[in-house]
Amino acid sequence: MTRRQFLRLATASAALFPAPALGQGAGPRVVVVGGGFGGASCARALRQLGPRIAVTLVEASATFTACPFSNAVIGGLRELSAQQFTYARVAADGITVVPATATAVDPAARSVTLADGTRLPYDRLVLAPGIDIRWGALAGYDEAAAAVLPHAWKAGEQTLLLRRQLEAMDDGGLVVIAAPANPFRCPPGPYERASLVAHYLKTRKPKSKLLVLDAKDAFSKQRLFQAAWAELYPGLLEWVPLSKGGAVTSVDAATRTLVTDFGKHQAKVANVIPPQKAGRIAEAAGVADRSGWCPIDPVTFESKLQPGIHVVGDAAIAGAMPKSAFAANSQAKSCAAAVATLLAGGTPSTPKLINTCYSLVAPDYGISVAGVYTPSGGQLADVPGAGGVSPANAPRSARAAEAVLAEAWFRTITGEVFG
Amino acid sequence: MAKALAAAIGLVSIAAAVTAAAEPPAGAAACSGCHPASARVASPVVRLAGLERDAIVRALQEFRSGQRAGTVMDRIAKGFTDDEIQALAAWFAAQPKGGEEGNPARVPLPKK
Repeated sequence: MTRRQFLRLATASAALFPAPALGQGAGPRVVVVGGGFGGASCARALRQLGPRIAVTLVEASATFTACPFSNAVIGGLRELSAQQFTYARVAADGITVVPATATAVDPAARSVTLADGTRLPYDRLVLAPGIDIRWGALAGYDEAAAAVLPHAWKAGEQTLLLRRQLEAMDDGGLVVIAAPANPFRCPPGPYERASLVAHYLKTRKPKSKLLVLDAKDAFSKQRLFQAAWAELYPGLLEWVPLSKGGAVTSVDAATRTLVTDFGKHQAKVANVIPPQKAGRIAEAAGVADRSGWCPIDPVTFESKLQPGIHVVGDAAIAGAMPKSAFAANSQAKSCAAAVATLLAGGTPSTPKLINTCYSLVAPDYGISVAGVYTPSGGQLADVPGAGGVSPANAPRSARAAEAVLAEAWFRTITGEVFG
Repeated sequence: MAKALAAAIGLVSIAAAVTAAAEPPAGAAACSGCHPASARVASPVVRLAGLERDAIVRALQEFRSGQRAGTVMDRIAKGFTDDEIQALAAWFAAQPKGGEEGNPARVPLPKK
């Protein structure tokens, strides 16, 4: 061990177990790329766990726009501003927030390159880049098409575009939502969106119809969604599974036409949720595999492809854990603990992670899925016997309570991460 | 022999609890996804820091067995062993209370 390495370890140990006698000079450096639920959570957890760790958060946007509850914005129940958060409090924790785009990673030199050429050296790197749209995977769906047929799968302008289109549509129009094959961000998301769009149509444009064209035959919380749809939106919302010709094979933005193997659907408003992959920096860093997602060690979240780089959140292949904000937050905190332990020369302990996802079927009708996960067979696996969805035959008061808890969850997690 | 074994198991549990006081036990970090840890967050969901250890153990065991109605905690508690529940309870009981005192606005739980 060189003197420098020794000092680094010593300062890292001091970071975990602060003692005045230890730790001179700069502590270990961790760079986190991506300021969403995964990245911002990880940066904050690292700051708490290791006061001597120099934590840098690289995020191009000055404002974070949260995806959870953005379906309520589309359905006219909420304003986009309620989804938006800044990094002021994160920076106030003593995290260096760098408003820039990370364009490259040199795993050998252990540095991140920013768009302006600046290089940020790191001892460990955490990538939390979320998703990118796999442009071209669906014939006819490119960035220009998304300006007509919004995906609204990254919250922000796209969310508002879809809402404006619904608001501008005459009563009696056909709205189509195209849902992708697995895996994708937020497995229950397309069905919550369908629910809240149906709620908007039912209350504002009741002669309209909503068609959900699905590239799958099964989806998250399916029985709960379908029971609620039959109760709340009969005759308005129709779900077409893969086996009934639901898979969209191409789109034509000019005519707002979605083509399946079984026919064509010309929509007044079309929301195309396209195939996805890990955010761009994952590929640039060499941590994404041929699937487009990032294989990781389930204890440390360290990439299986590049040592020293950890991946959390939607970009990671996290076994049984869904690509959700809660999961990203849970992973980020486990990853931070593992990174702090590794920097101190220790061995990370086996974590247990949790996910909880609420979906609104109507403003006062919430349902949820929960899970508990632990590493098993090299993957994050479901803890047997735990987790599951809300009970099938619960009274409306229970659904109303879950809608309240859904809102409480959003306030809590955004408060924990950004507040 | 059996007594010695029981004592040894007891010691192990105590050791686990002591460790728990030093660093968060498995699962603890995930709880603040719903149960606020930050003093700046207002929520109807109970804060765990500074709750009585026995109360946490009892709640988790009752959620796990189905004795206590939960919204999601009945599903989540089933993912934790007795030892893990003890470690979580010791950890949260040892945390300083933060944020608003008490939990005035509890959400009514669904009836089973």
